Amino acid sequence: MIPEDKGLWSRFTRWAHQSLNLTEIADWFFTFTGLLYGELDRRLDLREAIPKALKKPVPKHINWLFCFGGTTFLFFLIQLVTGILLTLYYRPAPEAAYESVRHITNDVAFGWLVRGVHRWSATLMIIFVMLHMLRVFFMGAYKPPRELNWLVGTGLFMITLVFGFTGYLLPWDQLAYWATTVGTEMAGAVPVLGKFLLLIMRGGADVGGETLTRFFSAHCIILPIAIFFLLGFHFVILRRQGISGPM
Amino acid sequence: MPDNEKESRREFLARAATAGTAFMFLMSAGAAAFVAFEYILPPARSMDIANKPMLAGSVSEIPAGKSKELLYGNTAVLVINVKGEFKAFNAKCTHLGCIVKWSESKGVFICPCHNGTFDTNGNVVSGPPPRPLGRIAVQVKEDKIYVGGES
Ligand code: HEM
Ligand code: FES
Repeated sequence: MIPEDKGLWSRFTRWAHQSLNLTEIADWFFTFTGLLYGELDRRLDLREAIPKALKKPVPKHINWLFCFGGTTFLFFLIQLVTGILLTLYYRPAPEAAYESVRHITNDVAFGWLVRGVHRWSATLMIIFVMLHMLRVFFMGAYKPPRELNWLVGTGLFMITLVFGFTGYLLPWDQLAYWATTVGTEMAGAVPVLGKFLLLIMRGGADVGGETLTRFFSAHCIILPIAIFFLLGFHFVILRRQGISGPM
Repeated sequence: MPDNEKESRREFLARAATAGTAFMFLMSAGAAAFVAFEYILPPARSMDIANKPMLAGSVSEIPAGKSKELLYGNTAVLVINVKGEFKAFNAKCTHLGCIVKWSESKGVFICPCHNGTFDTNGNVVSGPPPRPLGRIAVQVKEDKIYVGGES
């Protein structure tokens, strides 16, 4: 698998393969922190599962294109951590929201960084979920028996977009306000259901305080719970069926 | 012992109890769903529509070529003076709902969101808006301007 050329990269990967035995490191770590592992293992028999998970072989045809899903998940974890940090100072009320975001950015230690990372990682998460979908599509990895995971994936894609849409309103500045006016008005153009969707999203005739609390609730409570369950399905199905074969 | 074809009293009662419980469970679930739905729908009060004429200001306040912005109920209204004639429009852009601005220098309404422009009759000059601006009735009594209500 690892080509025997003199390239720096392949020398590095060979070294990593030979010297960094993940299974051994994990075993060493869990033995070293023995109390927890030992006591837990005596009751739950965990020692068997960890090497099994770590030793699961990676098929030969796997390449970097298969990493987009995992990268999307990494950005999600970053969103989770930075998002929770933001909620410590963010205040979801029309009188307070803008000022609290200003406070995070200018006064709180590293607030600019937490906010900036949340914003960049949100953008990158959307880019990578799209790359992931393109990979799955062009490799035909959605074909039976994997249709179900494609469906779960479309759900995840939509949740990711709605995360971005609802988060965008939270700073409550002019850009946020009018972007949400325009975005909800688009939902209002849906035949038959439009008026209803518009009301449900705005919580009133116009974008206002009710919209802000609604979007906050969606962004920080409803969507995280929904994405947690869908990610769970996505990964369990993936693990059960295995990664799709070579093209 | 009753014969095998027939249901015993005990079996019948057990089935009836199961059916009854299932029925009550479904009814409560339905009631809970109804309550949640009604809760999510915003109360009607937040959608008040004004319908009586409202004082918009005095004639001298809006010289020819100028405009005035005001709120009529929940509606943002722009009153303009076109060579002595007062006209009022719903300032909500017919494209996707941003509030248009009166441009004194160009003599048109301009939407800041996607550059839709409307002329002094509210008709679309350029940009994405599909329909003219909503017209609002104007009455001038003595030197006072009123907007809204019947025209
Ligand atoms: C997983 C996908 C997520 C996406 C795509 C996303 C996207 C966004 C975006 C675009 C903003 C506006 C950022 C800004 O203007 O600075 C935002 C703000 C915010 N997000 Fe998220 N977010 C995600 C997850 C989360 C989670 C899990 C939480 C917390 C539980 C969270 C909490 C917040 C808060 C409190 C703000 C307002 C603070 C601010 O604007 O700086 N987000 N989000
Ligand atoms: S909302 Fe006015 S041009 Fe798009």
